[in-house]
Amino acid sequence: MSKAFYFRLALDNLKKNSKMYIPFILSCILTIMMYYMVSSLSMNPNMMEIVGGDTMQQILSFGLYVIAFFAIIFLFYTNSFLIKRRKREFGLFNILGMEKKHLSIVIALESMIVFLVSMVLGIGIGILLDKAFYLLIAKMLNASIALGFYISYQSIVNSIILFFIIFLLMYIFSLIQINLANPVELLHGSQQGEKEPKTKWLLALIGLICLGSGYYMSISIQDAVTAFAFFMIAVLLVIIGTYMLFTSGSIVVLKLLRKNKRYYYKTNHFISVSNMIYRMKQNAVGLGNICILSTMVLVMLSTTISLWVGMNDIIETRFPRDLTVSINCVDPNEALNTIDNMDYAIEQAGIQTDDELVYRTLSVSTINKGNTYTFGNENASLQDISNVVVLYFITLDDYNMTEGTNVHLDSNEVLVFPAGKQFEDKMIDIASNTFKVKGVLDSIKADSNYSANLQNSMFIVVDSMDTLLMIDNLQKQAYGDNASYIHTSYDFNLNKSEEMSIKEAMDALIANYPGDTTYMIVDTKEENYENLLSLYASFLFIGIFLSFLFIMATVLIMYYKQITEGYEDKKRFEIMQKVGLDKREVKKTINSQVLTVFFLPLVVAAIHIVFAFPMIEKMLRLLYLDNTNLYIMTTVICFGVFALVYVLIYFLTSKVYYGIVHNAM
Amino acid sequence: MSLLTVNRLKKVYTTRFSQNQVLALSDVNFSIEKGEYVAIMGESGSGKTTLLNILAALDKPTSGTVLLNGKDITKINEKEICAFRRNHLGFVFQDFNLLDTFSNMDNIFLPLVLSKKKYPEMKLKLEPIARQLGIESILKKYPYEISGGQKQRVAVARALITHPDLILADEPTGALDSKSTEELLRLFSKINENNQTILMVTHSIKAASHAQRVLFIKDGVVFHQIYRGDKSMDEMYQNISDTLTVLATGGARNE
Repeated sequence: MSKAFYFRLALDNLKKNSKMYIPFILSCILTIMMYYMVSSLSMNPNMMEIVGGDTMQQILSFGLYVIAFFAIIFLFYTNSFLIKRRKREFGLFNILGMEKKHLSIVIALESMIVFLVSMVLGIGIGILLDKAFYLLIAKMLNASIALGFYISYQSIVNSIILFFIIFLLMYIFSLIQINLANPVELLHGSQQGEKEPKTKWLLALIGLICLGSGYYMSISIQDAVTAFAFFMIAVLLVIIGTYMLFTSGSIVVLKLLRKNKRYYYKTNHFISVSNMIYRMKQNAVGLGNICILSTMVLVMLSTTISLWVGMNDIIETRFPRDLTVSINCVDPNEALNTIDNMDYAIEQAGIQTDDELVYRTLSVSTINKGNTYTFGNENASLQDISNVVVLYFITLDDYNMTEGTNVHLDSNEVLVFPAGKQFEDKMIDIASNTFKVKGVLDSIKADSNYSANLQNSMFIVVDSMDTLLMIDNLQKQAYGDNASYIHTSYDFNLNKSEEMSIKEAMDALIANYPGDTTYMIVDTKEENYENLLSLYASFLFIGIFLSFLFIMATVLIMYYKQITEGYEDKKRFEIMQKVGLDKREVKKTINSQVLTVFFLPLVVAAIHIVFAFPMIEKMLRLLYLDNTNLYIMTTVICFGVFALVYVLIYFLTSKVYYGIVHNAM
Repeated sequence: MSLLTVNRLKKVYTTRFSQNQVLALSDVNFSIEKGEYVAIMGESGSGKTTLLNILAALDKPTSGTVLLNGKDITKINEKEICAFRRNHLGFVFQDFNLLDTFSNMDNIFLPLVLSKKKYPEMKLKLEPIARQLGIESILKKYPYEISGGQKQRVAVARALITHPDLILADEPTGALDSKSTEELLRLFSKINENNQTILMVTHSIKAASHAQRVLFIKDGVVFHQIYRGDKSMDEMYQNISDTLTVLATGGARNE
C-alpha cells in the first residue's frame, strides 16, 4: 500500500469522525494557545520593566506547570474516549485485512495531522492574542505600554516539545489499546459494559463520611491559620467524597428507589430510575469531574476577583497611614524611650507629619479557660491550641493618647476589647494576677495594625507601664527564648504640603533614629500597594486562565457524554416505542433524565461552595480581605455567570444528543 | 365478524431526494378470525415487513383500511395510537427487543407500567403467564444473563401480559437455534390453543408449518394461501415447500 493511500485513509477517518475530532482539535488548539501565551508572557522582557512585572512573571511561570499538568490530563482523557469509540472501526479494518502494523501507520498519520493543525493554529492564535494579554496586564498594573510585537521563540519551541511529547504518549496509549484487543473484541469494543452496576454500600458510606468531614472542617475551624493548614485536606476529602458519592452513592440511592415498588412502578419513575442506574455507571466519573472542575472554577474566580476588587480596601485596612514604623524592643526599658526617639528622628529629618497613631503593645499568647489566661507551659497539649488567645497589652496612657480620652484606672483594673467576641466576665485572671474589668470597649484604634481576624485575640488596657513591664517579666519567665518583645507602633501620614517623597522620608527617618534600629521596620503604603497589585493581578490572571481551561474541559466532557449517550439511548427508545411508549412520553423521560444528569454536578458544586465559604472567608482574612459582603457578592455573580454558561453549554451539546436520538423517532 | 380485516391495502414509498417510487404493497386483502394462527411468508422485498408495520400501526398505508375489531387502525390519531398498540396488540420481534436496563420481570411489566397499572395487579397477571412459559426462575435475572430461547420467551410473556387481541410476531425464530425454535413454536401452538390469535411473519417453512393457515405474499399482493385443515405437520411442511418452489420459479396464480 502506498504512502498516499495511508494519508488519504487517515484524512478520511478524521472526516468521518469529525463529530468527535473537531471538538478534540479545538481543545488542542486552545490548550496550545494558552500554554504559548502564558509561557511567552512569563519570558517577555517588556514585562520586566513594568513595576510588579517580575512578580507576575514568577507566578505565571509557576502557572505554566499547572496548565501543562491539566493539559496532559484533559488531552489524555479525550483521546482515550476517542479510541474507545473508534474500536469498532479499527476492528472492521482489521477484519478487512489491515494488519495492526498498518493500523498503527494510519493512526500515526491521523495524530500527525491533528498535531500539526493544532500546533500551527494554536501558536498562531497565541501570538496574536499574546499582545492583547500583554496590554491587559500592563493596564492591570497601571504601567505605560511598550510598543512593538513580541514573539517568544523559546516559548514556541517549548510548546512544540511539550505537545509533541503529549501526542506521542497518546499515540502509544492508543496503540496499546488496539494491540491488547483481538478483532472480535475490537468490533464489540463500544458495546461492552452493559452489566448492571453493583451496589457498593461501603464506598458510598466512605464517600459520605469524606464529604461530611470535609464540610465539617470548613464549618468548624474558627481561625484563619488552622483554615490555611487544613484547606488542602478538606479539599481532598471533598474531592474523594464527591467521586465516591457520584459513583457509588448515586447507585445506592437509585437501587433503594427501585426497591420501593410503589414508587418504582410508575411510568415516569420506572424508565428514569432503571435508565439512570446505567447512566450513572457510565457517567459517574465524568459527572464527578464536571462537578469538581466547576467548583474549582468558581472558587478560583470568586477569590481572585474578590482580592482584585477588594485590593484598595485591603490596603486601607492594612496600611491606614502612609508610613508604618514598628520597633521591637529587646530591652523592655528601651520601650520607654521609643516614642521620644521617633519624635526626635522625625524632627531631625524635617518631616511634616499628620494623623499620627502612636502606642506600645505587648502581645502574649495565652491559654484560655473560663476567665483565666495562663502563659504557656510545656504541658500544653494539642487540644489547647483551640483555646489559645493572644492578649495585646497596652498602657492606659497610650490608650488615652490614641483615643483622645481621659479614662482613669486603678492598679488592679483593666479595660477589655474582646475583638468581636462575647465577653461578660467581671474579673479576669492573667497568669495568676486578678484584674477587675472596669469596662468592655467597642473599638480600639490600636487594633488597626493587628489583624485581630487571624487568631483569637483580645486587647487589655492596663493602668501603667509598670504593670505592662510586670506582665512582660512574667511572660519572659514563662516563654524564655520564645518570649515576645514590647512593640512600638508609630504610624503617620505625610503632611500634604510635604515635598519629600515617602521613600525619602523613610530613609531620613532611619538615618536619624537615635535608638537601636536592628528591630525597626518601616513599611510604606505605596510600596505595599504595588506589591499587592502585582500579586493579585497575577492571581487573577492565572485564575482566569485556569478557569478557561477548566470550562473548556467541562464542555468537552459534556459533549462527549452526550454523543455516547445519544447512541446508546437511541436503541433503548426505539424499543420502548415499539412496546408502546408514545413520543411525548419518550421526550418527557429523556428530558428529565438529561436534565438530572446535567444539572446534578452544578447543584453539587453550589453546595460545595456554600460549605467552602466559611473556610475561604477566613483564608481571605489572612490575606487581609475582610469584606465578606464583597466576597459573597463576587461568588454569587460568578456562580450566576457560570450557571448561564453551563446552561448554554447544555443547550448546545444537548442539540447533538437530541439529533442522534431523534432519528429514532 | 372477523377479528382483523385488511382491505385493498396499498403502500408506496417515495424517497426524499428522488422521484423514484417504490411500490411495496399494491393490493393486499385478507382477514383473520378470532383464535386463528396465521403465518405470512414471502421472499425478501415481497412487502412482508411493510405489511407488518402497517398492522402494528407503526406505519401508515397509502390507501386501504385495516379493521381490528371493526376499528380502522389506520385512522387512529397519533395521540391514541400508542395506547391502542399497548392495549390491543402484542409484539414478538426477531431480535427480542428486551431492554438491558430492566430485569426480565420489569421488561414484562413495561407495557403494564406504561398503562399505569398497580404493582399487585401486575404481579397477579404475571404469575400464570410465567408458569405457562416456564420462566419463573429467570424473572429476577437480566436479559444479558439468559439464552436466546429464554429471551424470546420473556418477550412472549411481555406480549401476552396485556391480553392483546392479536399477537404480531416478526420472524420470532430468526435468531434462535433449532432446539429453541422447536420450543418456541410449541409454545405458540399452546398459546393459540388458549384462543389467542397470532399473526406471524416468517421465512422459516418449519415455523410456518405450525400455523393453521399460511399466506404467501409476492410483489405486494397476497399470492396464495394454504389451509392446514387436518393435514399433519409434515404434509403441511411439504405443501408450503412446494408452493415456495412454484413462487420462486414464477408460477402463475393458483386459484
